[in-house]
Amino acid sequence: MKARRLSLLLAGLGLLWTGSMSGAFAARYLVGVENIDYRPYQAGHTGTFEGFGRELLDAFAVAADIEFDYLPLPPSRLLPSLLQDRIDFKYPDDSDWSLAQREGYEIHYSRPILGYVDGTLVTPQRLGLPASEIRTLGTLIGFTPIAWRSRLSQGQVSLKENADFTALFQQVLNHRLDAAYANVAVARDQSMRSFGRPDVLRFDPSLPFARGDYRLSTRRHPALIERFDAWIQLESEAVAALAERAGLGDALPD
Amino acid sequence: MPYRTSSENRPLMPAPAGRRHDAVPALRGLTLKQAAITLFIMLTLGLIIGALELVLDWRRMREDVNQGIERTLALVEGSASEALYQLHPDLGRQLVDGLFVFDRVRRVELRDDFGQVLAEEERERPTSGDMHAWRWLFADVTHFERPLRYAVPGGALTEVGVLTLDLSPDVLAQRFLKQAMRDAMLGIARALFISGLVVIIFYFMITRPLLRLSDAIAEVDPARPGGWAPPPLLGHSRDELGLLLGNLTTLLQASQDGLDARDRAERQLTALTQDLDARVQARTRDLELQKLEVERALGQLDRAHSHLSEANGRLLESHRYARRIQTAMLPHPNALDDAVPEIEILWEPLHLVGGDWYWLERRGDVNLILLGDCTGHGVPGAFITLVVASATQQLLRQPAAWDAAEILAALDREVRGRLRQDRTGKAGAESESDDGLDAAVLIWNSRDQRMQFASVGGIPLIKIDANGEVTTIRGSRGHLGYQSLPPPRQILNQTIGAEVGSTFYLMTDGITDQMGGAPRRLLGRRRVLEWLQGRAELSLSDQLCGLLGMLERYRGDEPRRDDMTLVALRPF
Repeated sequence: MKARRLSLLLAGLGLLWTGSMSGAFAARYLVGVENIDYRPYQAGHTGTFEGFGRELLDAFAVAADIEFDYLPLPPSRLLPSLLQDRIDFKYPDDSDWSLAQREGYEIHYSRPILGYVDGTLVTPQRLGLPASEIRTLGTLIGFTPIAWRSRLSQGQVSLKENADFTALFQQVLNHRLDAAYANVAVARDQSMRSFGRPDVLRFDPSLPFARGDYRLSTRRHPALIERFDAWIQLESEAVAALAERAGLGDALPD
Repeated sequence: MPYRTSSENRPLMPAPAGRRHDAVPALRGLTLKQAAITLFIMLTLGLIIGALELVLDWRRMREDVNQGIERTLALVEGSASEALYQLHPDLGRQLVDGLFVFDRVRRVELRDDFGQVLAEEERERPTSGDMHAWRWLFADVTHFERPLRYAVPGGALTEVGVLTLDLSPDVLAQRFLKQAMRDAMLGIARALFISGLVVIIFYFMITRPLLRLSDAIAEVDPARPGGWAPPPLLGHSRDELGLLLGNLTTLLQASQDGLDARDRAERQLTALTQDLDARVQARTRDLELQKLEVERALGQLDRAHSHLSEANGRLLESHRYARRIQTAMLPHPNALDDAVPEIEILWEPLHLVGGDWYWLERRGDVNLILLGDCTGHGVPGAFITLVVASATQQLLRQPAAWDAAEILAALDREVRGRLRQDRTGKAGAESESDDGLDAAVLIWNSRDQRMQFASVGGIPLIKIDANGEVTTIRGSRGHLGYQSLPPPRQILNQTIGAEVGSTFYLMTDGITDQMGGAPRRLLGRRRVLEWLQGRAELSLSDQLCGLLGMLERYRGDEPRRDDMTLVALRPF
């Protein structure tokens, strides 16, 4: 009887040790994320990564039996951190961003996670004005106004960077800037929270805009990217549910 | 200030033109010297202090540069960190541009922690001025690097990059040199200004009053210094110039007093001199009279002297003649023929004639020597010797055998009789002679080596035998003659052995009473005997010659005092 109790005790301790060891040996990866309020996609301005992106990656980590540590950084620092291997993954990422910096580096991207539209936001009074009327364009620090790249390079438009959306919106509303270039969904969300209505600035589709997809990128862990891609496909419903819950159902890729 | 003028008795004389010195050339004046010295001191001090200040300024500027840049970097550190953290090129560029408002900033670089340059700007080197040689002044304080950290959410600091700032050593050196040049110019200007100011002050405070004082001194009448009017030196009554003026005034017044005193003294001296001249003239006249008197007296004296010389000559002539007479009265040295192997006689009157007299006579084999020392010397003594000689001649002609004591006793009677000294009462009182003599008689037979000796008074017989032993045979007390003295109480004959080789001496006291030597005293018979004893081997002639020399040396400058007679013989 005693021997039986002892064998059960040892078996229990063994399970506990195994469980702790499995946790101790789970691979940990550092994910660089944006330290800005980019809701409804994600938010890292408080120092803690939150939102859809966090839920998605945590779900994958659980599924892949890995752990993700999130490092909120200014958007502009994310790519250099990835290129210098200070972080394992960058999220979100798009191969069209900062093309010059990416030259010469092999970066592995995941399948599209969410689609986005970065467009030109103007005051309602300026809706419909041609692009040539836009002389000063504002954006968040670290963001690349891809759609305006040629005009910027030609000097037709000057770019002003701001630290957050509220300041960016205020400058446009005060006509210090002719327009703001930002994610349309994020802009609506920020407008709602800052000004009580979603359309303080309006997206003008007649002005240059860009579409793209948010992806997870890495340089050193392409296998994990493949596992992530497989997991997204496998868990598409769960991913969709997460997007719907964040109000991003429309952004799911086709 | 009241001044005493010179004595009013003193006639006013035109002031002699004093030798006035030329004005001091400006280049040699105190003012310029003082200016040069002040300028030199100021420049030297300025140079030293300027060099010191230059070093201090240099160090302070280096420190200021360092601190200023450090403060500036601290000021922009937050923005730079933000720009680097955000990798915000515009922000970084603005920061860099902001730093370039400082013209000494040559290059600014904002490099992120990824090694990328976020913002950078570099200023071209200044083209004006070649500061290459002076870059070392600030070369080590031109480079600044500040690592930048950023506080990420959660409070941790993370390295975000480095802000590098380089200053232009050329600009710093140029600014420093410009400042140094400005300081130097200001220093020179300050030195010149202070020198000029000091010169002006010195001129008005010292030089001008001195010149006035000098001019006033030049106006001093050397004949009337007390009449000098001191120049007004306003504002200097209590300082050194005032003191100088006061002392000078006092000096001139004292000089005036001295001149007055001199004038008074001159007048007194003149009066005194005139009085003295009168006295001298009177005295000169007296002296001339006295001189005439003296010359007259001297003439008389010369005549008297001439008379005296003449009389002396006659006297000397008389003495010489008397000496011939007295010498003729002396026996011939060979009077004893060959009865005496050796005999020498020294006869030296004090003057040409004297009171010593001796006689030698031989009767058969009997020989006689008589030596007398009569009273006095010179002519009186000579006269006595005449009496004695006459009496002796008479006595020795008598037929009786010679007996020395009887001869002396008879000679006493004879002398007393011839000089009427033997008379008593009124007849004796009429005799003016109280003269006499000491005498000694030595008689010996040539065949008998025995001698008879008798003496009255101070003439002893001295014998030095062949062994050199000296024997002195003294005579009887008393004297021969002399009215005031009684005849000798007893005259004794003494018999003396006369061995072969013995020498006998008879001498008057003129030999031993020589004054001389040191200490001064009489020669004495003992020294004479020692001298003779020490030269007994000599011949009698040599002995007497040597004795005369010894006597002269002993006397030295002392004059002789008496007649000297010495009879020396070696009878066998």
